[in-house]
Amino acid sequence: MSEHRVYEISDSLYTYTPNPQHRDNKVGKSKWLRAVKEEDEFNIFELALKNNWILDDERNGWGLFFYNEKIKYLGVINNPRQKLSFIAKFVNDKSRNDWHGYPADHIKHTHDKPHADILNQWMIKGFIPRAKMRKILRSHPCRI
Amino acid sequence: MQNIKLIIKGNFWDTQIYSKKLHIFDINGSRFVINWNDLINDFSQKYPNLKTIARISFLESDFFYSKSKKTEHLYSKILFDELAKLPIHIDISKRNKHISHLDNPLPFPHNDSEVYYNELYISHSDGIYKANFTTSNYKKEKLWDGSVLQLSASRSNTSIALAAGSDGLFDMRLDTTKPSFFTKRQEPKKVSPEHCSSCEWSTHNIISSSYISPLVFAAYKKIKKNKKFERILEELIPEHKIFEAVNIEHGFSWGESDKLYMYKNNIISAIKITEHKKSKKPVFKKIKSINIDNDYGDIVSANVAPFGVILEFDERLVIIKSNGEIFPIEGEPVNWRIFTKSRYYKNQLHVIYDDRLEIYSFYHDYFVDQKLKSSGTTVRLKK
Repeated sequence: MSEHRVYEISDSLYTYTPNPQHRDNKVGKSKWLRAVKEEDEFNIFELALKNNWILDDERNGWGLFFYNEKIKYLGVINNPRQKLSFIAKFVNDKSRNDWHGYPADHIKHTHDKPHADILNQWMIKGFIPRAKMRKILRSHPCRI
Repeated sequence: MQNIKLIIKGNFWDTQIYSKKLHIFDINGSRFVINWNDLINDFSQKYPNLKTIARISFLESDFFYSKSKKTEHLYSKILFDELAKLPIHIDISKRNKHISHLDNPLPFPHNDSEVYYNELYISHSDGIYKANFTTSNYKKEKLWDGSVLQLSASRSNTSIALAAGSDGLFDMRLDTTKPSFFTKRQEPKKVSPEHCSSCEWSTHNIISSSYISPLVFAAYKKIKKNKKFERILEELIPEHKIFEAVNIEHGFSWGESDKLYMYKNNIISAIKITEHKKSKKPVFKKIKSINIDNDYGDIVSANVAPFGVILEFDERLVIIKSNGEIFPIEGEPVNWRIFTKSRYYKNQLHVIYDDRLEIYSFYHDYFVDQKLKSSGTTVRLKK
């Protein structure tokens, strides 16, 4: 059982619990890279909270993994067009107020694609260039 | 053969060209509106011997497909090449009487945009919106909550096809018999549940392409009802029935108008779509394939215009021109757009980079036999 941590979002308390299905060897779900430890996963989520990369519905959020101030790939996705993902998707189980995250497949799953407002923030802050923003918005293959 | 190019410096997101105006969305979402005809006419005054060539290249692509105009005025490649040698730069930072800067009432950044009967339609993470494009009445209207990757309008079918990714392909029908602000619309109808990354029209049929699922050809039949034609979905033709039937291996496929393409291992297999004379059902016939002879890497996206096939790779666009030439444009584009359904701008390719917009005007299709070309959609010559 993974440990969980408690966070406060908009005056409400939430937990974040890493989902072991995104770290096991079974086929199907996208997997965090081995180099991205659970501690990194918490950090990616905390960064998303700090920057408000969470939608107002408090059900969906997105994050990026920085290493030496550069965006790095964070997971493996089950997609023939692109094997690696650099975007984390966070979802909140509202019934338990518990978040978990996984490497997003923005090509295959429309709901994995970051919201335009969040992508625009990433572009303005210089995390991704405009060309990558367009590719993600259109669900095109996008490499870093 | 050289290519004519016009450059506008700036930080842009998207472009549209419609009804004699070039619209450029900047990175804040606001819009430059350029009186395109006036701008080109002003430019062409400086070069009297190339005045007509400049007009044809930037304002009148219908010239290329007019039998009578072709017979009356046969322009040589040399004149087009002369224009291609000129540096054409437009500075929108300086005060220019042909340029205005307007706010954009619609959510930004949009995934895609489309112009249809003077209305600007955009798809955004929050849904589909529209606003009047040609007047100062910028009232926006939300049309649908669905998240759509790409829009493709068809004037003749009064409908917009919607590529909605994992939600599938949709058809949003519009009634344009009334003034635009009264335009009726119906809730978009799901056409195919298969993953849809992009969609285009082939007469009254819709082609759904995907990075995930095989291509789907949504074949409709047209029936006359109350003096009006109605489209009824007849069959979703899967990719294997089209390509495997003519021994083409699965790859990345797309199409528009009378052409379908499949890209695999640097080879583009081409299929021509015609209509069966009696049954009116689509007929797919393999035509000459195109060998690119170069490994540009994995494909990002593709489209087809009358001037040729456009392939997007990670770091470049590659144009397979309808005359057989291969024209790579180096650099990762921010965005790019073609205008296949327009009357006057069919020959244009707009490519946005970090610091500029490049407008390519292709003229080679003027010298190509429309019936024989493999790369590019066929344009029926008009009288």
